[in-house]
Amino acid sequence: MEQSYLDYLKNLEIEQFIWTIIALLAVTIFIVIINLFTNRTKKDTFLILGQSDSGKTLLYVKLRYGQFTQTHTSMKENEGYIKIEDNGKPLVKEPIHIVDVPGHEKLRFKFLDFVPITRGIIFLIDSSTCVRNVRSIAEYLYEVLSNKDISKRRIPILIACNKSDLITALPPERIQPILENEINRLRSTRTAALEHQDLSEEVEFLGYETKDFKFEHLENEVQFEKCSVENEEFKEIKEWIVEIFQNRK
Amino acid sequence: MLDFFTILTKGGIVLWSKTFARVTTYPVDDLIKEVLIEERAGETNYTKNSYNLKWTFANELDLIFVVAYQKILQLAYIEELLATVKKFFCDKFANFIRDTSRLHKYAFDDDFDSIRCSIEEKDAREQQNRRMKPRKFEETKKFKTTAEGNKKLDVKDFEKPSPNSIISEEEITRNIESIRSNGGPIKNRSGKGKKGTRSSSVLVNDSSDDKKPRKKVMRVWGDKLNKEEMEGLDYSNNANQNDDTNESVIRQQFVDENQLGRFQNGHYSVQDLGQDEEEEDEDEEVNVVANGNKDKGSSMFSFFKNITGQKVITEDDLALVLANMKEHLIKKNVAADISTHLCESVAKNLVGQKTGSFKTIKSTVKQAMEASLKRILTPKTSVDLLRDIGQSQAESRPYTICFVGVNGVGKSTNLSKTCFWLLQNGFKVLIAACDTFRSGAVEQLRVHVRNLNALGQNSIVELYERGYGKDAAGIAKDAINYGKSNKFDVVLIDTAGRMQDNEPLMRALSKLVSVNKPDKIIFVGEALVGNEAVDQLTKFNQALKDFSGLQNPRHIDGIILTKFDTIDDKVGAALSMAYTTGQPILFVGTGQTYTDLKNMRVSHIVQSLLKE
Repeated sequence: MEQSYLDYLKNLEIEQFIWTIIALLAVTIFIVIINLFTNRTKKDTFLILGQSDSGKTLLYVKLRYGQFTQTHTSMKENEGYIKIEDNGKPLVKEPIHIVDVPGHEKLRFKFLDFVPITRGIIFLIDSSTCVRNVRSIAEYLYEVLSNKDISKRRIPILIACNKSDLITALPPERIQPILENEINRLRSTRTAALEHQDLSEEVEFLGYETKDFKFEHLENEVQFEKCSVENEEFKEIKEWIVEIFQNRK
Repeated sequence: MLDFFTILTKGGIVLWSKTFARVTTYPVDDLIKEVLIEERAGETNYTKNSYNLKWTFANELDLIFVVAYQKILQLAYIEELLATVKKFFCDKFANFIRDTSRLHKYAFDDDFDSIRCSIEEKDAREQQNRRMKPRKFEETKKFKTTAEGNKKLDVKDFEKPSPNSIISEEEITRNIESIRSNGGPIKNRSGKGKKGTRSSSVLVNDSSDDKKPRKKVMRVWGDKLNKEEMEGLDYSNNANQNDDTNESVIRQQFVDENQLGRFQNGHYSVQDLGQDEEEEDEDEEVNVVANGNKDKGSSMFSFFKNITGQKVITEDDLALVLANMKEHLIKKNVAADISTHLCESVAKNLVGQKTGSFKTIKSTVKQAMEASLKRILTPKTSVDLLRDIGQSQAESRPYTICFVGVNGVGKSTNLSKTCFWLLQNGFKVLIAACDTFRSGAVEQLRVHVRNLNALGQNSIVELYERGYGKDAAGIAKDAINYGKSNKFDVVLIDTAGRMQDNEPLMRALSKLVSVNKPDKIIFVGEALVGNEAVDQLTKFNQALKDFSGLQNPRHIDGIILTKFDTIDDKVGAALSMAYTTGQPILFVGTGQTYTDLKNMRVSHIVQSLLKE
């Protein structure tokens, strides 16, 4: 008798518990959804992409803290808010969100997670070794440019040719045709590649089908600049960020 | 003794580093690229050029501690040093590291020096003791047979789950205490590290004046470990309060959080996981039932803590989840060693982290595993064959691809599928029949060539054959020359299937490769294999390396996975092969016709692997 009464009590408590849980879950899900929606509408992130050893993390540190520090190959993306100032006078009121995505081949895919909130992309190139590495640079750039979301939303891209202080560095005017040439070749091989196992996510065709690839053919605004992060010569990057940020609707 | 010591974030920003000798290469970058990113963090040691590197993670703060020393040195105290520095650094600078709004200066040089000196001295003294007093050894041997010795053994058995970690933790606390007690004076005298060292060594001397009693003391400590540890922590807190109130408050919070987390984990996780096996979707409700029957106050709290996440993951929490995960992977046909390595690596990356909001440990592990799988399967080199062929076209030489593998996996079939694809792209292809062993092999290729010629409108494909019983390497050489003079774009070399343990045949293969230097060596493997995949690949790679006699021996450049349509979601072979070689899976064969050759999609494989 007593036993069954206890059991009854227990059952009651369990039921109560379950109801409280359901109520709590409903509330939290609601909050999460609201959070997601408010985040989605904000598309003010700037991505720093590029190969390993092109100076992404250093640029990130420099933009964020205005100081130098030693850096190594990243295993994880760095993100944070920066304030862009010119001689102590802020150029933009709100802080800007920037993300430094690791450049290692096996970690690159992480940039895809940030594309939905991206406002602009800074693609760093090591201009001292870019002739040797042109294939891998172009492959990464191709992947970025042909991304459906990036081309549809016309996300502007700044190709920053870093390490311009080195003797072997090429000027951006020379790098651009080299890259165009390589992307042209990649375009033909990629479109001829075997299909993927399951339905592949759609990839944009770059440029016009009948003409050789040129960056001007793209929907996106692509700009080349030279810079040297180590020597503090990256004013152009800052100006570009400010310009893109202020042009947003 | 050391070359350098670096503390960096996983994002690659160096927080603090100290160099003792000039470092010319970039061993840390190599370590990250070759070991940590490749999910081989389960290893403990990495040798590059003349350096030996050891590392440890502090996942709660996303830090990596790396120490490098000359590889000829045998330093026994490195692990202790790493652990001690990690604990000290994390405790002291936790709030600094969490605050990413600006770059902090980490005034750690003096503390590091004193830690290093005390550990080095301790190590030296232990070595000396070992050398100077051989009688001690006898005594300890005898001692083992006595009653007290037995007691000690019992203690050891008791500590079996993780004896190393417990002992080292105790030592770490001791080390830190000894330094903390000196902390004040050292900070004030920044220039005089030497004096601080001496005093700290005196302190160590005090605690271990006589060898024999000290050992006994240690044993007793091991016995009632928890209390001792707690005292140690209390002591450090007191020291902090004297030091800097503001900082210590935060630090205390940090410590408390840890204890809280551990306590709850011990209480909680087992039930969580036990239930997990039964029903994944309803585990939250089930947990309530399980806990509700016990005591309500604490279980309510821990329950909320669990569903809202934010609890620190410990090794004990992970053990069961990872064991399940390992079993799951093996069921998906992943080789056993590889799933073990992988789980170890994931564990190393998770211990100390906090679970995200609304996440159980299981889902956190699953997420981490998904990321690692993705990382392993993503190729690190270009897999664009057509671009490579374009390059060799520009150099006006044929591009050569050599297909190798064990018997009956589908080398010839997939060779002809590849050929079909190349023909579609307008290349002129020559097939070299270098399987001079199995009867019918040449005829099989002849049929394929006839079919392929009939299929395409303007496709040009030829068979280069010299009958049976001849030397395969010679035929391949002739075929390449023939291809060059007749302006073929691609030469596909079909080799005889061979078992990986058959040495004469493996030698022949190695000869074929070293004589002809093909542009790509493609390993053809069945998707059906399990543990065998690792053996096949390592032995093929080893044979190419050992029997070549070259300075820079070749290795397998890519993999074709055949019979992929037969395995449903047991796609483990793909993971095993990619992990073993670090090379990309170029294509998968998915059927009987020429068009059944597909590019592998990484996300598809990852999903299949993790599917229940």
